[in-house]
Amino acid sequence: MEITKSREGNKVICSINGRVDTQTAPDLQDELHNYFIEAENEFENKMELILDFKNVSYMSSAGLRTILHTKKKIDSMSESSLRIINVQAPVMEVFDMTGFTDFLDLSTEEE
Amino acid sequence: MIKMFRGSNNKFSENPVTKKQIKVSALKGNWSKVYDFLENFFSSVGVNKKNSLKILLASEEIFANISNYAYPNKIGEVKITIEYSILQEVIRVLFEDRGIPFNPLLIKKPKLNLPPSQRKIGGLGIFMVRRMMNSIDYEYTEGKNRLLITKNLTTN
Repeated sequence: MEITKSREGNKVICSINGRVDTQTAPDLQDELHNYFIEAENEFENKMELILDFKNVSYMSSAGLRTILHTKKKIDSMSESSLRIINVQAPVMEVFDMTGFTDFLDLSTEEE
Repeated sequence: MIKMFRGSNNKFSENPVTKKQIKVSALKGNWSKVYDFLENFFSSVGVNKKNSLKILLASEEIFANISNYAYPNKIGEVKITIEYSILQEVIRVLFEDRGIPFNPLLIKKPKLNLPPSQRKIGGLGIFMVRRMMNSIDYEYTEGKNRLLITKNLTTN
């Protein structure tokens, strides 16, 4: 799994390439943790976080754990949001079967 | 062929099977090794992408469970046997470890309609296994946890 970060003001786009699984999800969580520290230090805890899943074709419950953790953190901050974009069908199925589609802002590829 | 003492889905016995086995330390860091092993097997016997993805996801949940909980104070091993039954069009994956006895089938179904603040991740993995596979069988025998997951390739 590789992560590329880009930032415009308080909008942070995290593009993930590879599998989000039991082995790699902790790395993603560490990366996102750094963004939260940055948001706290540099933009008053206001962050528009976008996870680009265009190149993620596999995600297990370890990935869900990281996403849930991130969502809870975002919800605890004022004027912050989390969006997951370009979600591929097999990954959407995982979000769907576990009810995560109920509370996440998700969009499929090229929507 | 893989058999469980109490397994209800293993009545058949004379069918030709393709079988492979891997033994690794039960560490999360070994997941990619297991992933590659399984994926190679699927492509060699011609399992389609959709089914192989489901079996991989289910296998990861089981492997992660064993890595996290089976050996609390030492590094132990897990043996994974995969089998493709040609006539039945069934894939079976058997996980064996000598860790503490643990039946994942007793894990309660997670509540899936809660807001994120009240959500817990516990139990989601096994729930996903149940959703993606056709059956799960567990037994503890001769000091071993044996967990068998079965996927019928003719269904989705």
